[in-house]
Amino acid sequence: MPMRNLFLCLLLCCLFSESQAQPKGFHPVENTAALQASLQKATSSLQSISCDFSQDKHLAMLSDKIKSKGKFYYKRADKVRIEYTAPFHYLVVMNGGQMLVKDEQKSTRINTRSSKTMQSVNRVMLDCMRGTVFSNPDFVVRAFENGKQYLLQMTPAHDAMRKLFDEIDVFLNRNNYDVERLNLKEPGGDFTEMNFSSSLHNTALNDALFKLR
Amino acid sequence: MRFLSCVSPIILIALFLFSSCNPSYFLTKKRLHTSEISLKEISFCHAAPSQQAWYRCLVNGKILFKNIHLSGLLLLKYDSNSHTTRAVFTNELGYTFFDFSLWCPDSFTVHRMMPQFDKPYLIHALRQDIQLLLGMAQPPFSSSQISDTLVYEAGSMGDQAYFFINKNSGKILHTDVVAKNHLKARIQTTPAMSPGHLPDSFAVAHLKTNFRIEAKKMEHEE
Repeated sequence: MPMRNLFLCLLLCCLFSESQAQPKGFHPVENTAALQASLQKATSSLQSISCDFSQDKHLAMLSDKIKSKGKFYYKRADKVRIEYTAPFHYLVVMNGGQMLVKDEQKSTRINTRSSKTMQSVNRVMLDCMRGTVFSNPDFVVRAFENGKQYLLQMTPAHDAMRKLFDEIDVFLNRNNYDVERLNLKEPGGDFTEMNFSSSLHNTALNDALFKLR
Repeated sequence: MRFLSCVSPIILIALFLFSSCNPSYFLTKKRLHTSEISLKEISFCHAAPSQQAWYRCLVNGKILFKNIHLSGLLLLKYDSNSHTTRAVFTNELGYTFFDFSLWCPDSFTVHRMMPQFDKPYLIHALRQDIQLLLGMAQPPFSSSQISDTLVYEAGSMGDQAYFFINKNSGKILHTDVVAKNHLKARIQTTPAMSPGHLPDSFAVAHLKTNFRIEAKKMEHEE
């Protein structure tokens, strides 16, 4: 009887650790190097993206979430514009090492090189668009897949990043490697989910969209 | 050293002018009997219904001659069963700046504080702002009257808090925080707030540190 209990405990422990390691509905990618190469090949011809996004902020221990939405633009190689349109107006422009944040009251220009947090946010966004997630030194990346998507699970590689993020999950469309969903998990259990839709590739995007003014 | 010898008098003059701009807090008031008012009349701790609101929040201030501007979303959620209020402030991208729980009348827990903001004086100031916005203060209360305004005096984390309430409507006009006889901060709700309800909008002006927080209730889909 004790041996049987021990066996059951071990079995439960194994099942638990397996479920912790592997996201539900996904299994590990066997050849990560091949995925990395395909991802880079697919994104190498990508000059621009424009799409809609919706964002849900979930709060730990509370059922509440705050929803927002807007437009997302990317232009090769290092230009990103995130434009919130509802329920508030807010704009983030990343261009080179600079960032512009504009709310109803004020525009603030930030040099991301002087802020580790801003630098990492900037880098994660660009990595997702450029397909260079695997080369980000701040995170250990594990790849999973199912019939429809790839999931790149980014775990912070050092303490400074661990204070900011618990994990970042990037969900890619299996066919065209578009980022479909971004899940930013914070220490403490809060998380923010960004869903991207109506993507347009390689349309002409005016440089004025990425001006830091 | 030559630089210091030139600068020091200027700093001293500036400090003198700054302190002289902040006169002693003094109210011409007529004492009332404490029985005429009670904590229940103003405190959120005795609000009946559970309620919550998201606010669009803007923070402006100056630290060491450097302008600071911050914006984000603030959730205030009150649970009438546990008399607990949750206050969560996030930026627009979803990152949590702080997450507090406040229990009536005076308990407090920090669930999360962004590393850059994790400073005792900042936590103290934010806690006091939220507590007083919700009418959480330490008894004993005393009361006074200035024309048709009732003034309730209470303790708040080592300072004095003065709640100004319209005698006829019973609504809170504003709340002053006074430290060492000087006005430290003023909390103003617009329109005047019925006690026990979350305000439509509010502003907190920290006069000594020159910081201003403005918040307006948002409509959003659940």
